[in-house]
Amino acid sequence: MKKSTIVAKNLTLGYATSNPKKAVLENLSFQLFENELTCLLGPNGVGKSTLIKAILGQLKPWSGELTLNEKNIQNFSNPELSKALSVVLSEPVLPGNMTVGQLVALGRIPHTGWTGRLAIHDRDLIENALYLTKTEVLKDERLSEISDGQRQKAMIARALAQDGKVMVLDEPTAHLDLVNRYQIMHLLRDIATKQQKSILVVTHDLEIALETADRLLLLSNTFPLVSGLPEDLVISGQLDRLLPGDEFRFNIEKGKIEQKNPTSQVVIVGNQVIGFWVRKALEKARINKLELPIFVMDGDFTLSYGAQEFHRIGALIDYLKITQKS
Amino acid sequence: MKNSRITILFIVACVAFMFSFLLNVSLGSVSIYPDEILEGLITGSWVKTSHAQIILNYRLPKAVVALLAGVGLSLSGLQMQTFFRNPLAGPFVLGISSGAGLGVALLMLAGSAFGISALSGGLSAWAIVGAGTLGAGLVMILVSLVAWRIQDSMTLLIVGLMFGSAVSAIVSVLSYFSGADALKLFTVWSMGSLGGLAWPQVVVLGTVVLVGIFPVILSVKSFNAMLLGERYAKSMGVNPTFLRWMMILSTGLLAGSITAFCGPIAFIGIAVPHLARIMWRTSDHRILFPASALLGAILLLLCDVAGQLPGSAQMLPINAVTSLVGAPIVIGLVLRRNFSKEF
Amino acid sequence: MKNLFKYFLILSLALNFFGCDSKESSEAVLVEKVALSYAKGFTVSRGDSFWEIEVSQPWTGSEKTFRYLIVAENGIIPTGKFDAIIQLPIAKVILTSTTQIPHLDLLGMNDRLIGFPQTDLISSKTSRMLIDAGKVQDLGAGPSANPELIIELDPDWIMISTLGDDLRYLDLLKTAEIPAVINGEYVEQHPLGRAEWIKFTGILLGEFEKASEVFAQVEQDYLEAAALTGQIPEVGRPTVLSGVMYQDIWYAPGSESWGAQILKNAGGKYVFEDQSGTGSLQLNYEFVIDNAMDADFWIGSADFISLAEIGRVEPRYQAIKAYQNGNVFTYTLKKGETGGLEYFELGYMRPDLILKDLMKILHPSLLPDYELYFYKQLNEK
Repeated sequence: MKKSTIVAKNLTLGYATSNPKKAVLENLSFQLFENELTCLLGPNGVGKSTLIKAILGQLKPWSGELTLNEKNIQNFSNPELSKALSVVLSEPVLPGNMTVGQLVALGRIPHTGWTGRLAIHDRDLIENALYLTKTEVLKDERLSEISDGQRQKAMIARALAQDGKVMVLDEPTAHLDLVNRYQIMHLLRDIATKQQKSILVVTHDLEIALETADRLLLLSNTFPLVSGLPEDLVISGQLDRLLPGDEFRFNIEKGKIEQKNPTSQVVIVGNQVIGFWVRKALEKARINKLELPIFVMDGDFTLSYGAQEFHRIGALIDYLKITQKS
Repeated sequence: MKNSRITILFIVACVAFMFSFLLNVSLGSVSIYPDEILEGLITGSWVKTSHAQIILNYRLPKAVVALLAGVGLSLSGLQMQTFFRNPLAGPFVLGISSGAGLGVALLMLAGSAFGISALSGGLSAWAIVGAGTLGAGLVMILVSLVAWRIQDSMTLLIVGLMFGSAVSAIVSVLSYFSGADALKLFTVWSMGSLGGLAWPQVVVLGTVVLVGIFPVILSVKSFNAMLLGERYAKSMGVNPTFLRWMMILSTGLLAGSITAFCGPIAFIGIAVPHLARIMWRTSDHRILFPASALLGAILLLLCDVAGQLPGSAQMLPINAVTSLVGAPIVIGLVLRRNFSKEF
Repeated sequence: MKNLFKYFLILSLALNFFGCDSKESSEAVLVEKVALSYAKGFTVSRGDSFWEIEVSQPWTGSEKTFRYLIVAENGIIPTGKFDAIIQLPIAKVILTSTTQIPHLDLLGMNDRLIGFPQTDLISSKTSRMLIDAGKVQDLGAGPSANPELIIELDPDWIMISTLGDDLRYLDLLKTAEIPAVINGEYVEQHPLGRAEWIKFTGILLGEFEKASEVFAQVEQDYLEAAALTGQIPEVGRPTVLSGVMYQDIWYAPGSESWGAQILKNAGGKYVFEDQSGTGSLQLNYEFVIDNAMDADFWIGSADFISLAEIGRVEPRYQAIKAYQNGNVFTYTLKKGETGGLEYFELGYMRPDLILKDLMKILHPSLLPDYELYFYKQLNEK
């Protein structure tokens, strides 16, 4: 039985100054567990930041309960909370003069004495954090001289060195390139399982979340909170709650988001895996109806339409565009 | 490897400090040789009594004041820069030293401006110090009230700057209406002066500066956390609000007392922390605070030597020297390629 | 005589009852007040072998009094708290204002001067000879005299005034055991009151009698000349404008000031006689034009060198009738070798010369043989 870290029961959150006094989130109940990477997804404005603030102890719930390790978060003093929970925010970090090693060492601040002197135990944790995030080689590099991806890994290392049971990350991959995004999410997954941490990541990156998360929390304006294994949510179709409206849906087979009403009536014969991509290209080119079928041949990748043969989808499209005009 | 660089720099700085202190005491309008100074200090026998008087009652207190002011201003400036995350912040951004100026202006100018006989408050050093302290204290209370109500630090910074402007405006009005003699004296005061304080006053200044340094020492770890911003600092258990109070108290005591005793001294508070960052190549406040203190003392001691125009009867006011030295430093810093990234 | 004896008895009894501390003199101390005729800023008392001076007006509106003790050679030092104790005879002194130089001149004791801030300001010929011979150390041009050099020169006393910033080093000088005395002559507004301060310097040099003689002569010359104008009725007095303008504000002496009093004694009618005050007035241009445009004379117009310069610097001056008629006079006739104006140096001490100058300008027939000393008429160019 996995141990739960953060537990919310009938949580209602709002801002005291809002006018009229309307709750942002109502009656939320969920749990986060040790050894798990949980991704929080939802449309903009649904209240993800509000929930994060409540978890960080910065917002008092209007009603309901929010506990960490069975203690109400509001009852934690700031120093106590900092030993149990660390964050990585999306705002940029400024001190360019600081080295990666010094940055990670900052994570030990909740644990050191008033001078901030590092004991052996502290140094071990720092080294460990650098190792796990594969940033050891960057230890003496200055923050202004490393790439964005490296900087983000350094920030994660810092949060790791803080050695709380829980790590909360707010859109950590927002400005990163593709490779970095995958690397970081996999890194977080690694940390969750191997270091027995409970990691909550707020993200918009659905596909990477599906790849790496042990649990998804879906917030939506129209449906109550849904929590569960990502694959369960896919199969049950609950993932579509992220895509309100009629335009898009989640394609279970392909694992990606696509337009709801495929308009293509083109017949494609042959390898259906390749055929899927041919159809997609035709849809984008607004070619939804053809007199003749298209044949896909493996081996030497050939598409044939009528008497013509093409070796690139692009060539087929160009041809069809010209002939379909007339 | 890096640690040894830091240690070496500290050793060099300590040596430089002792050298500057000795230089400051050795050079002046009257030529007194260092060996005579050392012999006099150690054995108590001097070549001429006038030399003993000059060294013991004029140059030594002046050097100690330079040391205290250099340390106090640079520590105050460093706190401001880190807390407000602004490289151009300095000890005077909260308007506290303008407040001291207001107190002194009221003492020196108000009588003349309102038609009451000039200099009616008397010009004793204690009167000036008292007036400056009252003025600084008043602004500090106002700033504290604002700090209590406002969450955002940027807002606090702007309010502090506006307080400074408002106070300067009042001083301008007083200056406009006052007589030439009073105005000249006030202008001379605002050019700053390290000399002319007797040992009892130096002792009081020293005590207040030490008390003002105390909050700094206690919050050195928190300042490191503040480098990442208030949200991160909070997440590491630091209380930015408490730190803000400590900082207002510390700056009030340091900048307020130094301005009350010596008049406003420009540039040391802004330039020295940057120099320390560049030389020690670190953002760690456990290193930056002592480094800034040392550099501040060294710089002010040397500026004072320059201002004394050794060998001549003339003297330059300390503010002129620190500005002439400080402005190029700040310009040089800002022009460095990596300035905005490095801060 | 009898009163004096009673006083002596009471004092000695009193002193015996209350006892004396530190200073050994348990002898009765007889102190006799010495009257001063016009000066209000200081009082003098003399004892058997010492003098006491109390300066009650070191600066305008002061509530602090300074007490100085001057002890004759081999004299006994009486008890009491003093801000400075000076032991005669005097060999070395430092002065800080050119107005103090004539005191030395007239007492024949220039050679005592060993230091002065910005020696170029001094005009007196005898002093200049000493300066050229290298006997007077220049103490700098800043707001206060260089403290290190003062200590190094170790004068028997240093005279400071509150017009500069020398007061800041008072404590330092005290610790260095250099007696510092404050000369408050500029606070006096009576023309003879300022001149009487030569007695102050005189006592400090041990030459009170000589100083009294010099002053008596000045007093006599002044009163004799003033008597000549005493009879002139209001109507017959020419109107006089004084001062200069800067931006929008006209700065002129108040009607109770030293300068205005001499003007009155010289038989002039000061256009601002309704503006009371002893310092500098700040009047706006419109008011001045309204009241003073038609003044007969404009006396005391700073150091402009010619009418043309005046008109160029500030065209609004051209509206003044006295300017148009060329009746503009200022005090730049006599300059020292190195550029110092004698008016600023000698003026306080010789109000009689100023008086006669003004009388010569306003009522030339009264002093046919007299030639202007300080003042000269400005020419076109």
